[in-house]
Amino acid sequence: MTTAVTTTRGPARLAFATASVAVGALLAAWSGTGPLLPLLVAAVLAGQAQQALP
Amino acid sequence: MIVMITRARVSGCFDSSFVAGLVLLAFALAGALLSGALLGLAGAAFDPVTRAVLTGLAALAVLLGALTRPVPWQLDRETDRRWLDYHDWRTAALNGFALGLGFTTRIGYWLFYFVLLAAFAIADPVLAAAGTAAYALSRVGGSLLLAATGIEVAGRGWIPRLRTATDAVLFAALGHLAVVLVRSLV
Repeated sequence: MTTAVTTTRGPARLAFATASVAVGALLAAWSGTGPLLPLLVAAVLAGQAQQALP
Repeated sequence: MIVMITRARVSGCFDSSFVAGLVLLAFALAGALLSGALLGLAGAAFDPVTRAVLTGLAALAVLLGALTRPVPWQLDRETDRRWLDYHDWRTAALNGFALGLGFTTRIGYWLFYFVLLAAFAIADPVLAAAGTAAYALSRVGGSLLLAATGIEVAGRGWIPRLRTATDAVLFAALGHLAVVLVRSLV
């Protein structure tokens, strides 16, 4: 819960987003993969996360 | 959603919940393949520079949206409950198609926008459809498995944590996409 709260607002949220974007950019630069891999990962995770929706 | 699927299974579909599940999954895949192929075709209709600019602008909008509000822009509703009144294969088919499209019902997480964004950016109807089909399999296939095993996971308490996790994946995926877009232009 603490993680959820601290990463939803303000500077912590911005730092969280910046770090995540940087990790993704580094992974892309290092691996040389195209958009298919993140598309598949996002598709599977989004579908799974939606199981919890009311 | 799980209630809808469970009721779709038992509301009568050739007197078989297994067939109802197959119909649900088949129509979910049909909806996903259609939306993915259309997005891939739309992406392919633009030259690489224009496509990169459009994708970049859309990605920026999603990034700003996700930074400023936890709940994504969405149609805050479930599938149409009137479909339950058909008591035949149409209940499963309509529910499946709507859930496969994804955006006609509650999205819940910003990460879903990346699926649409990447399907456009990939500019290939087959690959884009493969991506959205993976979404439909995960969403509807997962729900069917849960319904078949009797597991109930619908709990609002999980959603904030799932939002944090999926947002981290979204931001990383946007960073990945930014590099891919830049690489496509040089």
